[in-house]
Amino acid sequence: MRDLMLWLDGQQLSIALRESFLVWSALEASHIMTLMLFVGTIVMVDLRILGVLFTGTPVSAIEKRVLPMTMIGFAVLIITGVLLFYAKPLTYYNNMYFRLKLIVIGLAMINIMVFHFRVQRNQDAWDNAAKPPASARVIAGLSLSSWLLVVIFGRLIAYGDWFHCATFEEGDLLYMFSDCPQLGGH
Amino acid sequence: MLFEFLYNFAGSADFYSSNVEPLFRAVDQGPAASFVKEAWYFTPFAGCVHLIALSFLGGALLLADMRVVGPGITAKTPAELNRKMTPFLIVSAIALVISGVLLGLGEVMRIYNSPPFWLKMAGLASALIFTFTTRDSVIRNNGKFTPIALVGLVASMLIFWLSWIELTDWRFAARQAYLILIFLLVGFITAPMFLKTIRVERLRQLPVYLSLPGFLTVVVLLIAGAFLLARIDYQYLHELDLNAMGLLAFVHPSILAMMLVSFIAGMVSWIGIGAAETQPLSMRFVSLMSMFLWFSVAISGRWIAFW
Repeated sequence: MRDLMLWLDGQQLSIALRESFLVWSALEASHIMTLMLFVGTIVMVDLRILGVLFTGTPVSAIEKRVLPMTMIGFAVLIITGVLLFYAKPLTYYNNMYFRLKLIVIGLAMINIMVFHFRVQRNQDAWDNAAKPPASARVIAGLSLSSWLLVVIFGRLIAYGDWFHCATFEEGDLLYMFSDCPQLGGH
Repeated sequence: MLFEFLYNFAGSADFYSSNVEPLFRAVDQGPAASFVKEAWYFTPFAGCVHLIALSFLGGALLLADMRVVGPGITAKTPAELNRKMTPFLIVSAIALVISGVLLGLGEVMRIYNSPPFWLKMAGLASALIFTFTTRDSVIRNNGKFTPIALVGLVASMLIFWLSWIELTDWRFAARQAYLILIFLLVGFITAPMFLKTIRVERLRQLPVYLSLPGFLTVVVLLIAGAFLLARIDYQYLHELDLNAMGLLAFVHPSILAMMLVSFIAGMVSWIGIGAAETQPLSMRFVSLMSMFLWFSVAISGRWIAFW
C-alpha cells in the first residue's frame, strides 16, 4: 500500500496539484464550503429523528426534501476529498487522524445502512411521531456523533505535528496504525 | 460621512496602520495571546469548535434559505422555517466568533497582515447585518422591504463590496471567483422569468438520483468553462493590465463572457433543483445573498491559511 502511495506521490498530476496555488486553495475552500451543506443538513435530519426539531413534521417529509441536498454535498465532499488526497497521498496515508477519519466515515456508512434496511422498514408506523422509537433515535445519535467526529478528525489532520511517525517509537501501536516507514520519520 | 467611514473601515491602509495596527500589536503581546501560543492544544481545539459551529450555521442557513429559493422543506412556510432556524443561527454565529477570536489570538500579527482575514471580517460584518436585518425582515414580511431591511441592505452591501474592491484584485483569480458566484446566483433567482415552468417540470421528473448529479455536472462544467474563459485571455494580457483597467476590466470580452456563462450555469442549476412553487423575487434575492455572504466568510476564512 505504501508503495502505491509513493508511486501516486510522484505522479506529475499529483505534484502539479499540490504545487498549484489556485487549484489547491480552491479545492480546500470547496471542501470546507460543502461541509456546511453536508454536515449542516444531515445534522438537521438527525435532530428531527431524535425528536428535537420539527417535531410536528413527518420524518419522511424532512428526508424527502433535505436528503437530496445532503447527497449533493456528500458527492462534492468525496470528489474534493479524493483530489486533496491525490495531491498529498503519502502525507495523508501516514496521518493518524486521516486514518481515524476514514474509519469513522466507514462506521457512519454502516450506520446509514442499518437505518435504511432495518429501522426504516416500519417507518410508516412512526413517521408522524414527535419522538420516533428508541432504535431510530439511537441510530440518529450515532449518526450525529460520527459526523461531528469526522469534522473533528478532519480538522486535526492539519495538526499532524502532534502525533506523527517521527514522534512514535518504532513498534508502538500508533506507529503500526499509521504504517510508518521502517527508517522512521518522513 | 458614513460612506467615508465605511470606506476607511473597509480597507484604507493609512486608517489601519495608524488606528488598528497598534491595537493588534498590543493584543499580540498581551497575556491572552501568550497563553494561546504556549498551550499546544488550544488552537486545534478552537479549530474543531470553529468547524462544527460552521457546519451548524450552514445547516440552519441552508434549510431556511433553500426553502425560499428551491428545494427546502415545503411542510413549513419560509417565515416559520426561518423562525425555527434562528436560534441555531445565533448560537452557531456566537460560537464561530468566540472560537475565531481564540484562533486569531495564536497568530495576531499574521492575520493583521492577511487580506483574506480582512475580507472575512468585512464579510462577517455584512453577513451579520444582512441576515438579522434585511433577510429576517423580508422573509417575515413575505417579500416586502421595510425601512430597516433597506438600511441593512445598504450598510451590508457597502461594507462587503468596498472591502472587495479594496482587498482583492484580478490576480489570484479572487475577482473571477466572486463574479462567477454572483452571476450564478443572478441566473438562479431570475430563471423563473426566462424559463417556462411546464418544460422545466418535465426535466425535474427524472429520478432524483439521475437528475441531480446530471445537473450538478453541467453546472460544474459551465463554471469551469467560465473560469477558463476569463483566464485564457488573462494569460495573454499582462497580469497587471486588468488591474490597471479599473472598472473597464468588467467590460473586457473575456470577463463579460465569463459572467454570461455563470448566469447560464445559474439557470441550469435552477432547472435541476429549483422549487415548484416560486417565492417573490425579493425573497429569493435576500436568501441567495445571505448564502453568498456566509459562503464568502467561509471561503475567505480558508484562504487565510494560504496567504
